[in-house]
Amino acid sequence: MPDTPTSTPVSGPGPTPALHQAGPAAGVPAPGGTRVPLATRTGMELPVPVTIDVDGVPVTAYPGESLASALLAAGQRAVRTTTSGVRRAPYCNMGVCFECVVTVDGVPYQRTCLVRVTAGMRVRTSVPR
Amino acid sequence: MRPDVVVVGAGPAGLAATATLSRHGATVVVVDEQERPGGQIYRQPPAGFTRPGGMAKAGRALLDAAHAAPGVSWLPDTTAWGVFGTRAGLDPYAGGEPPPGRMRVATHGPAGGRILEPRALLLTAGAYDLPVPFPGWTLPGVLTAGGVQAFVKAQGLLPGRRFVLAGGHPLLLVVADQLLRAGADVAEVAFSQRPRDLIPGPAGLLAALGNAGKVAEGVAALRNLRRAGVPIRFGTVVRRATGDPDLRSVTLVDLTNAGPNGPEREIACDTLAVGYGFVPSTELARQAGCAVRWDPPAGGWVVRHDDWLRSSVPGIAVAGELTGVAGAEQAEVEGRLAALGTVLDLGLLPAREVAEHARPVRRVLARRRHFVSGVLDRFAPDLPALGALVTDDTVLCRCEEVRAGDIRRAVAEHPHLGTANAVKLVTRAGMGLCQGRSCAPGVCQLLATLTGRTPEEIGTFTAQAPVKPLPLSALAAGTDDPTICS
Repeated sequence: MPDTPTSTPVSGPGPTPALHQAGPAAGVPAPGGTRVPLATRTGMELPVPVTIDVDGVPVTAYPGESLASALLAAGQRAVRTTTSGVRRAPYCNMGVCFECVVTVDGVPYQRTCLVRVTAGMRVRTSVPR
Repeated sequence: MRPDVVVVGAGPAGLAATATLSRHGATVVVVDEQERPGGQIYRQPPAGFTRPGGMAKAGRALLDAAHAAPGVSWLPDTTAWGVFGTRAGLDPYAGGEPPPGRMRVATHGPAGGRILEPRALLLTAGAYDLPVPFPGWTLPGVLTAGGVQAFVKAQGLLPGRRFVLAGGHPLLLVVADQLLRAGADVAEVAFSQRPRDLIPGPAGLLAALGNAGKVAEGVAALRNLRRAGVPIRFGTVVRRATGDPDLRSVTLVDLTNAGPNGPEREIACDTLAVGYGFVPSTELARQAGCAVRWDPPAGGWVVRHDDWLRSSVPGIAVAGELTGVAGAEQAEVEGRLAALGTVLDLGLLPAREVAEHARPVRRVLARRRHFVSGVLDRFAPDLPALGALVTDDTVLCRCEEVRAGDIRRAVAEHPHLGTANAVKLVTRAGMGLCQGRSCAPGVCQLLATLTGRTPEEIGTFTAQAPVKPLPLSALAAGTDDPTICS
């Protein structure tokens, strides 16, 4: 699996072009209303990217990575809003705090820090646009 | 499945135990919530991701030994959510009679619900970052230090651009160095300990990393951070985090004798990593009925055990951080010892032979314990001082959005509320999805301050099955045993 001709070596900070090829059309805000991603890929050779559906918007992600990573890399910091309407994002990033839960393929309360990206996965956050 | 032993948690303790159990002929099922074994410390990148340089030698050796072990089944992506049949007469679901047959460990994973019926259970669930509430700690961009490290090390993702790291655990230095190497702008590393607490100086802090190898890593990190000109301050805590809609800055304040009352400094950043220490993951042990004791330097509530690491519940042993937070190397040694105790109890080897196998393990364990004792006492988080950061507006229970002021008012209205459980019933703190894992330390500290009662008197939230949320279908499909789902 490692070092297959199709793997994409990525090192150091900086924008990852592959991330935005399948992004929203011009003028359409990215999921969660955020703009340029703060997060960057670093220090890992990555597999061939896939596309997932986040609130109806195609987002490029890497198969096997955590959904939390994919959303952050796509510029979406908050992944849910509380019943009182407050934005929340991954906090513990290891399955303890349940702050990062979203609906994945119709199953609610999935922890994005534990769920792994697969091609075509349908993700519904509760962050309003 | 009816294995000899179920091991819950595939970190250093669980992996070492699994290899030892297998070597002495036990069949083992290992349950872990992650995709790949290793725990948080030896967390592996996703399949298909390649990390140049690979993983630490100690972690590689543990993983290889456990993978090569015969008679072991792995249940990854699986949560162990309840232990049944261990408390005849005490467990209302077990009825009045001693339950027939083996104890039952309920799990939920990709294949749905599954009940395991082992002869013995070994809990090696590890620890998680101590949640420390302060104004703004729920903002997107505020993460635990362990969470930030997991993004960088295991996912190849730098989760922000400009970082502040704050807390009291030397892991902060290691994470700051990893961030720096990944190209991040590290604005400051702020330790709560005052210089006079750090004898013989800041390097003494590194001893809390738990073993010689980690201390060397910490020394190298400290050197790199100083060379890069990253400010490292002591006696400094986060007063508040601010930003709309997400984190934009943190305000740091110096600790004085009267608490966090020194001059304030506001630092712009998009990510704050908070790391004051670790809490043992005792929920499944407590749900199973294992007795615990309050040991602040060891992370709070830890599981009581005998010298074979057997808990108070027959058939259940513990190893690693559940016995007190002491790091990966001690966890590994404890895993071996607990496995040998289980081998003894299952009658897989004569007692004399088990004792012989255990002798060198006990020697190493004694050395490790000597190394961390004293160190942990000095670097235990100052819970009352951290509690002083909380304002009435600060959310303590993230899930149910219960603020400190709600709890203060509840206690004022109901002065008889003297335990964590009583406050939970009145305020809903601890009733949400995380089941109190994130709020118990903060709620209990506030109660101690408000009532003057001791942590032992206040207790913590009762751990109930399921200890983590699961779909109802998992209950329906997992078993036909009426004692579990009736």
